[in-house]
Amino acid sequence: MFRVSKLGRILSFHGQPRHFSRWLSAVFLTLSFSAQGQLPELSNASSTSGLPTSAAFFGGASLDNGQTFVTKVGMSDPVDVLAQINVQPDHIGFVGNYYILIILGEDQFVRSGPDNYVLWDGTVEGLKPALANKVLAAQEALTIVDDLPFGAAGISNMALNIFLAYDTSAAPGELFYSGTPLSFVVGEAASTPASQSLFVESVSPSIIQTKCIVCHVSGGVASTSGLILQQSLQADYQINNYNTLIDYIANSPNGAERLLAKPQGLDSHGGGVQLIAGSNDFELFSAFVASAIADIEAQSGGTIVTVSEIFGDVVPGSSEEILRRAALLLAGRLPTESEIAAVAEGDEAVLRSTLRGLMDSDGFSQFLLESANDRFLTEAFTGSMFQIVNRKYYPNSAKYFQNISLRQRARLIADALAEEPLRLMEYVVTQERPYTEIVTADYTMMNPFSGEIYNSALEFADPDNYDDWKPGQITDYFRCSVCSQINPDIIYDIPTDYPHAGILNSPAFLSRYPSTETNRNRARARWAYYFFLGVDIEAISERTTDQEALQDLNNPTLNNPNCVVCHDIMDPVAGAFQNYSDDGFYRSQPGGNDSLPFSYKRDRDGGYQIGDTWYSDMLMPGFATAIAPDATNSIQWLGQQFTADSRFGVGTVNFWYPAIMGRELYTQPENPEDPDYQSQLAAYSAEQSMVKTIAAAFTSGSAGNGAFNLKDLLIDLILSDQFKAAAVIEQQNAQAVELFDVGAGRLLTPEQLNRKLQTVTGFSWSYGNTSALQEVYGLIYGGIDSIGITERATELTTLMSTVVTAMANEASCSIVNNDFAKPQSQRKLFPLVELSSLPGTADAAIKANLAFLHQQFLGESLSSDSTEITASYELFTAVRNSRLAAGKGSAVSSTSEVCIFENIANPITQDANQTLRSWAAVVNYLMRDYRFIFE
Amino acid sequence: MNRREFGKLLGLAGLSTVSGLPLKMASAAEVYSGPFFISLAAIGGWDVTSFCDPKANVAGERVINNWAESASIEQIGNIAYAPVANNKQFFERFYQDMLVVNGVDAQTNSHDDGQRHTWSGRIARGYPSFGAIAASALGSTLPLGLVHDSGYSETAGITRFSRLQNPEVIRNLVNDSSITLGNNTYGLFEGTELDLISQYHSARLARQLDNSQLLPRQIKGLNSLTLADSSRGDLALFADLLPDQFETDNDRRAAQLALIAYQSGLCVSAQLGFNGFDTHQNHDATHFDSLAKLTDLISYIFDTAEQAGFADKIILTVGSDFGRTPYYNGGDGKDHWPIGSTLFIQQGASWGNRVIGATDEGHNAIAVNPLTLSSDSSASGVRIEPKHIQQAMRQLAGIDQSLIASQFPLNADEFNFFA
Repeated sequence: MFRVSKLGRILSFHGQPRHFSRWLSAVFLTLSFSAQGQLPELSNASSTSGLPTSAAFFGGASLDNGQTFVTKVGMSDPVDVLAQINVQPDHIGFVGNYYILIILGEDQFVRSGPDNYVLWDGTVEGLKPALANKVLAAQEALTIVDDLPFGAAGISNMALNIFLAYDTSAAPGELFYSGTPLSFVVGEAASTPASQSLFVESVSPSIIQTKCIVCHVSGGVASTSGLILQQSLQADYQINNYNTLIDYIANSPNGAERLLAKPQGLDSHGGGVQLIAGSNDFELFSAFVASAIADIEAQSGGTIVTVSEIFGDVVPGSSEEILRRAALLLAGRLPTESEIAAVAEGDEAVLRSTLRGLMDSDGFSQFLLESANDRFLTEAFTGSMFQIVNRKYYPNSAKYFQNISLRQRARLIADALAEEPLRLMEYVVTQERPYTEIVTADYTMMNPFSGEIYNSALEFADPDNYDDWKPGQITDYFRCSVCSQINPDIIYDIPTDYPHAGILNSPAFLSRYPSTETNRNRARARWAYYFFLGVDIEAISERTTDQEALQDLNNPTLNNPNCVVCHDIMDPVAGAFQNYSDDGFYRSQPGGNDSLPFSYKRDRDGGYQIGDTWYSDMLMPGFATAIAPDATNSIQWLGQQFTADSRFGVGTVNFWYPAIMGRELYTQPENPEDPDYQSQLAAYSAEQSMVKTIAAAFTSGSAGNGAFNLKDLLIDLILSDQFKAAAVIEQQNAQAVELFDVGAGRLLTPEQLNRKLQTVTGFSWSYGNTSALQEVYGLIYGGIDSIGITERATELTTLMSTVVTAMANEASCSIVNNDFAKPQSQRKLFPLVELSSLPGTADAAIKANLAFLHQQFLGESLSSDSTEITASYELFTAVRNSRLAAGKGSAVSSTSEVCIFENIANPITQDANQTLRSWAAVVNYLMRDYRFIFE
Repeated sequence: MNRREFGKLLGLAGLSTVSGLPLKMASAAEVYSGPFFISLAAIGGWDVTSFCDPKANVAGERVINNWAESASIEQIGNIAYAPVANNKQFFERFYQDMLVVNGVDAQTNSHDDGQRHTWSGRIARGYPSFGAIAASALGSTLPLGLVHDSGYSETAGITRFSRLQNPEVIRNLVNDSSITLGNNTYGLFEGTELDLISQYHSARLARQLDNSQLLPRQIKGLNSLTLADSSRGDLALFADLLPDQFETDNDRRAAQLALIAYQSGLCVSAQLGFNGFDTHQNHDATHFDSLAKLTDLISYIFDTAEQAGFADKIILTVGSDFGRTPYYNGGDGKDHWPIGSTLFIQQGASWGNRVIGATDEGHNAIAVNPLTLSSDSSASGVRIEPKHIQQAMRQLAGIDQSLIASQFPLNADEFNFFA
């Protein structure tokens, strides 16, 4: 059946003939030209059946004979309107017709023949070809208008929207057309608000009249919504609709925010998702709202408050405080004295360079590896080699299969395979290579263990040095020439030039995000969007779904609007993963030409044809509306598309935000009826603003270290209001929500607390070689195992607090003992006292050392006579007095108070003055302090 | 110093016969002894047409269930069920204690949305689970008020949930002021010194909280530490009840520990669940295995609580993201379908042996009259949604009028499911 419903909606027409048809016929001229500039592509190329098309349409208005193109022309400007149609490749050489449809104000015209325009009645039958019975060439250039001043025809303050289309005998009954029109406005720029021009040019035809109008009309589904618009059949509908929206923005509570939230399916929008965040249409609509606000403010002289200034009463931490938090976070150590001195005296540039200096360390690599795994979770496979590789495709792994004698090396190989994508991340960032390489790198990272499996020719100086990582390519992967399920004589002998695309086709990544025969790589697409573009497809689908809407047998993921909302986005990217099997193996099927499952290939009704590499009943492999040009390298092509996408920068900020801030980004508040909706919205908006600013700096390389430099992005995050906040002058009720989870005070992870303990005390709390915090108590203390527990705890529970008290009780005496056992000059904690320094005779030294301890453990700069130092001194003396009163002996360790000497080189065993144990009590007190376990 | 004991804790291997819970309840002064609310999630979207809302095939229509080609729907009491998996044993055992609500419309086919909607009553983000509200309203100072293992975990900041992995380690941690070496236990600090440390720590914490310029995040952290300090000692009640042996199956062990947490008087609610229901291919074999595991787990929960003498305290709610399509896809799987069911089980419940709500032969939800609970196609009929279930649960728990619950209004028509 020939369907024109979509095109009809775009071009719905109910006007009367006007003199413009004669005028158009007189002035719209030749139908060929030689383009000199780059014609803008008209997006959303469509077909009336709804099937995807690779046809492309281009067009624009020019004032310089096609050198450049504009969206606004003056009434007296001589204008060229140029277009080009690239037909679908399989239509070339077939006979077809070209169509030109013009919307001018309320009227719609179709070009009929070389010099005649007639009103179009909106029916298929009413369509007349501009060029009939042409043999279709790959490209057809069209000059629609040549040097025409529109004002001469009395046209001003009007938009022209021109649709291009063609049909062909190669696809009978189909019409292929530009979903988005060639648009420009004829008018006097000075007299027309920018928002109005934008509305008339683009927003009205591509959004209002194609999406909103379906419900937001008098008598429509959304007729009680308070936002009633007019259809194009009504006189002056564009200016009336524009005024309606301006009124809504200016006068409705949170009008601007709601106008942006609703079409995203948020804020209880009855119409679900109409505009997807990050899409071109959404960006267009956002630009219109921003422009409208500016115009309203300009006209009223006032200000529309869209986001309250939430950081107005916030006190940021000092440079020294920021440095301490950043050093512990990024480098796993305290800042050095020289670093502290530098930032104390310097400006933000100095702080920036000092922060950058923190990134030249092993601690920073550890930060990167941990943070990346918190996202990718590939360490789930630590110790499980054959969950990533297979002894047939990777023959170098065969000797480790069920071989107990090689178990130890096999485990290290597994660890290396699991870490591979994380190591790629670390390499790209620490070497300051463009971050885009995480999805475009034509290599991956290998050490002697993974190299043995992936690339045995790669040379390492020491085959047992796990820490020797270098770039390399997978060369020892073999596809099967004979691998039928029923043939026992399997042969894996087809060498492979593995088409590396960074993490996208890292074996560990593909294994961690497997697929199934019905999932068809959609999960991989979902996670790729989430990790690299910051798009959560699951969130896009947040809407109510009627069960009847799912009663669809006609390939619903391709045709059902309830499904298409996600699948249109997801499925092309799923297709781009076409060469990878459910388990992640490249072209795993017999012959090594595809990874399509046998069940699909054998299904006579499934649509499979020999040579296919993807499912015929899904959207073609691609990204957005672009189609991957070559099946052999579609994943590499996808990586390039991702990095060229405007969302890549925001996606990168999203990816790293939890690593710096200790929590995920806020989600957009959805229900205005919530009592703190305004405050939530303010917090969300402020955060999003920050994200966009940092993303823009990241992609442009404005810090001067090249575009896509992740170190700069991390520094920007640390210097953001959200990170720097240290206090609020006087917290108001609203601020409890607006500032809900910003600034100092994040709960440290087990790994971070462990590093902090080590750097502050020089002591490792461990049982033999096993880290107590990371390995024994890690999960209890809110850590992850990358498999079942994949989200870190961000709040301290009572059970978690027992880890802190156990740490303080077990380790404090050892820490004090370990430090006092060293010469004073080498001590980390007690450089100002000896065990012989006693209250009454060495108070100044004791208090000075207490102040030093508070600085080291808690980051507090306190004077010796401060309340806190006084309290700590009292604790020290109270414990000592208690011991003296109890007549305690000089032995440091006894059955009632064991001091564990396990990791101390030369432990002190005697404490005649009872000071070692008293200092241990103070350190215990500091280790369980809020400021030690939160940072 | 030999710390081999800790090495053992890392393995937890070689566990043999598992003992039941001890026959005692905790006896601390302020322990919780009210109902124990367990939310059990069949994660992924369950097929209730092969469970508690059984569907036969309709001639001329797509096959809903392969089993219906050769078997009939069965019934015990007032409850119909599908004759697959371990359903027969399950329904025969629990039907008198069971309320089935069919035709629950999750209004989504997205997993995240479905889980959020089912367990919070609102499809939009931000609402806590029923378990979180119950823990906050009935046991805000309990150290294990909300135990979480799997599924929806949003607490909206009204409480914190505890994970109970690795119970041997927990036992060791609860005794945080001593260590065990061989058969001997040694103190780490003298008791008087620990008291002094705690005293000065509490005083400093109070000074820190007295700062009027704290950020909300800092207040939250300080409050969590304060609560932890005040309730840490109570964890001994939990540790004292830990058996020598634990279940080896992860889901059973999670249930076992949640039951012990309740038995210790420190827990109000638990969120349990497991994956395995998202059967887009090879549906029957995979899904029926998961259903059997689900019903076996429910039996285990009640068996274990029965042995310990508190089975009548358990109010178990079983639900899922949504349902599955009343037809098979090309891979013999079933895809997402917004209509599902909810089960409530309480031993000796007056509301047992009943089914509320209905679906038609194609598993489309039928509206229900909130007053009569009968099918009602008139304007008075309401399609049952998760908010109705959640509202009813709040009422059953007696917390629907609590300050905490009122912060998260559901605006739901009142169904008196438990009359």
